[in-house]
Amino acid sequence: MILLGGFSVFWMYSRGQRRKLALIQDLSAALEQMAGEIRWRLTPLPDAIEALSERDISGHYFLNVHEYLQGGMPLQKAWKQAFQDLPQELGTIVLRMEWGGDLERQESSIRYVSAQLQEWDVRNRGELRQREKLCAAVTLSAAGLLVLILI
Amino acid sequence: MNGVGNNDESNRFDEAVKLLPLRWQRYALALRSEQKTVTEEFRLRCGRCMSVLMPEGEVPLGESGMAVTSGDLEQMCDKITGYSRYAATETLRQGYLTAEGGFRVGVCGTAVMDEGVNTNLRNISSMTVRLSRQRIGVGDPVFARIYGDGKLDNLLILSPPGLGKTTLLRDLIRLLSEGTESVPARRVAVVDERGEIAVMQKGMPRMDVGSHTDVLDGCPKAIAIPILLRACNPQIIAVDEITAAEDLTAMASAANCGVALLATIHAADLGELRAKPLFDRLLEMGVFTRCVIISRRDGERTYEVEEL
Repeated sequence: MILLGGFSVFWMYSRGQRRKLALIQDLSAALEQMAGEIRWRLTPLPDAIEALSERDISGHYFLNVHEYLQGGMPLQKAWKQAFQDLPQELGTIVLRMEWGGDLERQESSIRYVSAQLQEWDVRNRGELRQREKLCAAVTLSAAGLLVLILI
Repeated sequence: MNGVGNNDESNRFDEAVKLLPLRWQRYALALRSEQKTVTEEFRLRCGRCMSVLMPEGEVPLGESGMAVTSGDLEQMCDKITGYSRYAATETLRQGYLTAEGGFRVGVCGTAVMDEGVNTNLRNISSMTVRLSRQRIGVGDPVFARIYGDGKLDNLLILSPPGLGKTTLLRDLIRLLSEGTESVPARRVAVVDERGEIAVMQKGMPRMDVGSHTDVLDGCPKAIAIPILLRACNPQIIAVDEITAAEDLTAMASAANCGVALLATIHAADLGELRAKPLFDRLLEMGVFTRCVIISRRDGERTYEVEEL
């Protein structure tokens, strides 16, 4: 029971972490898409952001940005408000986005944030896998020990 | 002259007000409804009070001592471009932006020159929001007079700036596209280079340009006309503001294909038109056979149709 409980807790933690990683991957992909839109089609940012609001995982963040913009809020503020409930470390990365400047500067800023998210994803995915392996090893060891004790 | 209902006038005015910096909007909204109906432009100059242009002249708005700041103008430019000045570089270097709703916003500032070409504007010093309005029916008195021998003449619309060339052009496009009891509907193709004629928004025209009208938005005329000829099989091509020699060449090609033409030019009258070498050449080419001259007499617009 204790083992089962411990395993359940770790499983829920692991699931939460995987959701976070899926969000990071989707955000990074969305930003890459935005950078491509503005580079190759010179799409205005509000239109590019609106198009991203249809994404499955991160879409609601971009939808919020779009709605704030429609309400007259400046872009920097709308971005900050929409992403303020992200976990702290993620929020710090996403809020590094700088809006304005010429095409090169804007594209660079978007791609920079996307690259930072990808780095975070790779680093934390590796750590999560290590933790999962460790947990599996500990659980099996504990189970084995319990069996020995019972015997 | 027939006009759209007061409700539409009010809506257009309110749409234009939303382009203004927040702190100036309430002064514009406080105008009386009859003033809103005749407002032609909002003018914002750095260091000066905002003003509105009405038929009697510029009227200042705002409290005593209030002045437009460079921050106001930068904020306005950001809002109009959707924080995407890179997407508006082409028009910005020509000194204007096309705002949502089809309003032309003139921009003055310091030109950024690169090898003799103006590539951008910085340190914006003034902005002018021109209120464009659709006036359904303004083309009615002209429509019957632009046919010669039952055939549509290639038509030029002339007037000084701000007298309603685009408004008349738009209504003639609508009438030609829809047809009347005596005149069949025509396939009209519009080169809407500045986005002011049809006011396209996500593929839909916000102004009524008729049911049989195709619009090529944001494309220079010399490039757009061959595209339309190939893609849309038009019977009529309509363009706004002929300004360049390549525009004339493209229009002559279209006329040689049997397509009727509608175009506008900045000129008060035929004399002024002939005084400009480019347009003198246009008249020599004989592409256009009729013109409508818009002028203002006793506060009212008049439309004189003449043969060329």
